[in-house]
Amino acid sequence: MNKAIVYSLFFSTFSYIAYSQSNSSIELDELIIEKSKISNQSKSQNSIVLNDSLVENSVGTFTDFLQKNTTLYFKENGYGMVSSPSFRGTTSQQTSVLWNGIKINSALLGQTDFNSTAFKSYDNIVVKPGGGSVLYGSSAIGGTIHLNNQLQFNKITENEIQLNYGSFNTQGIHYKISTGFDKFAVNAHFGYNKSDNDYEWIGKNRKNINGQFFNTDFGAELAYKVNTKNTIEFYSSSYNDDRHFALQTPYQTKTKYQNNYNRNLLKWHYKTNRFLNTFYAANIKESYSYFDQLPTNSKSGGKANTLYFKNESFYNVLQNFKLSGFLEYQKTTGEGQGSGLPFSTQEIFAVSVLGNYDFTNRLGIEVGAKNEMAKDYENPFLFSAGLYYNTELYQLKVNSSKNYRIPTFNDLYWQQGGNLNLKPETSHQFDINHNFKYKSVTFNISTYYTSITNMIRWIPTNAGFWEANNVDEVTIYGADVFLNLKKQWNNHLVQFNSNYGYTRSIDKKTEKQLTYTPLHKFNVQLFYGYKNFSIVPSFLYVDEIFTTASNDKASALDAYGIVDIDIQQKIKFKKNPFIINLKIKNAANTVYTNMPERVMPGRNYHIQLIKKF
Amino acid sequence: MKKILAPMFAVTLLYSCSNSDDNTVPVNPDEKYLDGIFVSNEGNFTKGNASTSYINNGLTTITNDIFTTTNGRALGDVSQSMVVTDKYVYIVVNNSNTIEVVNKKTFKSVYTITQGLSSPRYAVVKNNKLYVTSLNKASVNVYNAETFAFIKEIELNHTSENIVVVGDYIYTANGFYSGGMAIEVINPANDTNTVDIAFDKAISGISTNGQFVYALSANATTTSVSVVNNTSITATKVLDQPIARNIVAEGSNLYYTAGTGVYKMSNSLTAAGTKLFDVAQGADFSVFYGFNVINGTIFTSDANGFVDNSKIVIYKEDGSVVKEFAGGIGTNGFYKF
Repeated sequence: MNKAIVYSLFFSTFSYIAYSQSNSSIELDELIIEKSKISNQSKSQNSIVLNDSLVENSVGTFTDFLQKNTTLYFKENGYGMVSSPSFRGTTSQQTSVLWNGIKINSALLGQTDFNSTAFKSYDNIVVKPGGGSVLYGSSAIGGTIHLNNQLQFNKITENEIQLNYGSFNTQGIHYKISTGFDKFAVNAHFGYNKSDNDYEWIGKNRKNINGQFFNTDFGAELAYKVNTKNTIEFYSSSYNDDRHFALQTPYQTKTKYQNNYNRNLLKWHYKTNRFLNTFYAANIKESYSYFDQLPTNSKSGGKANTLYFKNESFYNVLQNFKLSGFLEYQKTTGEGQGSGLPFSTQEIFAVSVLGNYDFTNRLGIEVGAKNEMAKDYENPFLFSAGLYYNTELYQLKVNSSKNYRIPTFNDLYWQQGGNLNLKPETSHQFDINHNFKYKSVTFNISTYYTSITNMIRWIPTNAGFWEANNVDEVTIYGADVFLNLKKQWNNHLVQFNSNYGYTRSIDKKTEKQLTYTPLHKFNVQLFYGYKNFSIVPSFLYVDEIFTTASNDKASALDAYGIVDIDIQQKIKFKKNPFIINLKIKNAANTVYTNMPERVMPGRNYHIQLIKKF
Repeated sequence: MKKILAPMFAVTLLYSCSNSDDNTVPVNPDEKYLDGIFVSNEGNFTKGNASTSYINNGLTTITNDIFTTTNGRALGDVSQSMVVTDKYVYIVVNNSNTIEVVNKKTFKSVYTITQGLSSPRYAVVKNNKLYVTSLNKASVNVYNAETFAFIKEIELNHTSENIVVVGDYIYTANGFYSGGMAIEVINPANDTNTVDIAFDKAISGISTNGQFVYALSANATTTSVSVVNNTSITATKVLDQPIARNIVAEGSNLYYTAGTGVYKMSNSLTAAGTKLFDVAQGADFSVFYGFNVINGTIFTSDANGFVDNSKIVIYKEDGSVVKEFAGGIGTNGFYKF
């Protein structure tokens, strides 16, 4: 009994690299489960799974969560404010976020704000480093982040409620219900977070001013098994937030930003012995309002509406030979309100073909190709190719691909400065992954090379306005290293988990490190569990970053290290088990910034209650 | 050893020489800024990395970040412009809603004006009063230039940018995107906006030689240079350059830029300007982010697309380079004192 609990802890406490099936025994059903599909569709690339209990036991922002569990680097305009990732040394617009299989980066901005993402509403999150444009389209250059809900037939009804409260009047409520019958499966969830976010600016003799925020999200998923061949799934999610933007200097005009989105997705799976077809129809609405002179009502905003259709077909031609083909059509309309974006429309049509072939039950190859047509810019022909070799102890995955990031609505249509002559950003990439697994030791090392051309940047023209242009070229090489060790005896469990990212991201013009990109990033967590108690000290190190292209030392932001301590106690109170988590963040009270003049919080405390019934 | 000491000795000697020349006044070692040029570096919008640089009078050296070095704190977000008087420098920090007042000779902070500021842009001093334009409000704020106390807010018809003083009037030009196309005139005797001088195109800049106001106005097809005397336009010349910018009036000459060219014309407006020279195409098309002409010497900055420190290049009228410097981020102005 106890062992079972410990065992489950052990698997879900930390992130892990998905070990894709070594050979041809993929069930078509696995391609319906998003989490499994991701690793099965790219056997020559790694994917990192962040499981349900890791998600449920975390308190804070999606930025905190990924900063701590992956090698992704984030910069924030102060805690909880606009947050953008750098995945393998790329820009925020070169990281793609997918929701249950469809891409959801903002059509207007081309990126996802990781402090405006209700990550606790998902049953698992998969982080897949490296290019994936053949599978996932635009922005899949540095990597992809997959937010997945999981539906399950024939399942006992499960309720889960989470409450958290902590420093700076930070509060959260999350509730989830899931159930499954013979023919139906249903999930529904709700989340609410708020914070006064008025932390002390250590050493500056003031507090964080105007940093308060709140957000709410609702979601529901439904699956209906029509018959043995047909299953229909429906996913719906909505999110609203209201974030004041923290002041950098005390007398600034106060501003705030509201984000809203509403996403609906219908999937229809048709499955026979050797054939699986999935049809997607989705509608994504996004909008924002920016209040530029609080407390007045002066504001500007924008909205976009995307209709998306996709048909995916998988065919097991032979036991060791599989083919798939995708057809996609997307139509997006966007419009600014009191801003420079006139009503604009974009249509994209795409065709992709993928296949994999196993020479033996250990060795195989996969290839993919994609062509996309869009109204206002030329799209490159995209490809991916990979080789995989799997044994019990060792896996080798070699992958090469060509990927891209399309210009956003603002890049193309903004008046004045949008540029219809833009080309998509294009990247070529090559990566090698070695995965070792021996008893209780897991070790992975991924080395990669990425070259990106036609990077889009807004630059001041000599006519006096800013314009989007294809200006930069970047070469990136680096390594991601993952190590996990564990030891278990009697009721004790000790586990060591660590990620290290080395990122050399070089601007071709200056031959210097790209701005806001640390050379080293390192995180380590040490888990100790005894029966129903556990304590996890963790450490995050981020190297110095430069804010000028010439890497002027005077412009550098210092390296920093942060210690967090998570303590958990499972309590059984008259057959009513529940979990109490105590989180001490930045326990050493380190003063740090990852954007100039944006002090981050010192030591802060959070308590979380989790009750399942 | 001798090699190292010799230049040191030379430097010491130079110092003692210059000191002994005007030895009548005891020299305050903090008074580092007796003459030369202050340079405003606006920084990256929202990054709080605005700064001020100093170029010595002989145009041989630059000292960057003098506000922070002197005062031990950051200047703020977007140093839009400066006003230099005999006693003070007023640094208008646009996105921090502050005006940092420093002692001109030492650059030590004297006061930080905060009252009533909402995205301040440009300022001017007249009759011991500081007049400040705003991006967010169609008005000019007035402060006592000595006590820094807020005096009043003068209503305008449209938001205004540049502000200059000539003779008995203060002239403030409606911003290019403000919707207004006028120079609004303020009478400093009673601090009211009495007269508006209407233009037929939006105004992109004004400058004065101390005698008249010269204005550039532009639409999609043409740019015009106009002369304002007292409260009316007395002459206008339509230029063949479609997008001319950065007007500077000095003595009987006017200078402006178009594309990568620097142009000069007579302030009689008898003929359009002639091109003096072209600057090198900037790395990122951001040439002339800062531009000024001081005693016939032309100061330019290329903001390097705001991803790096600006490149400051000082030219003679014949296009020969006097000196190049690395400034701060987004160098936008040069102020002689």
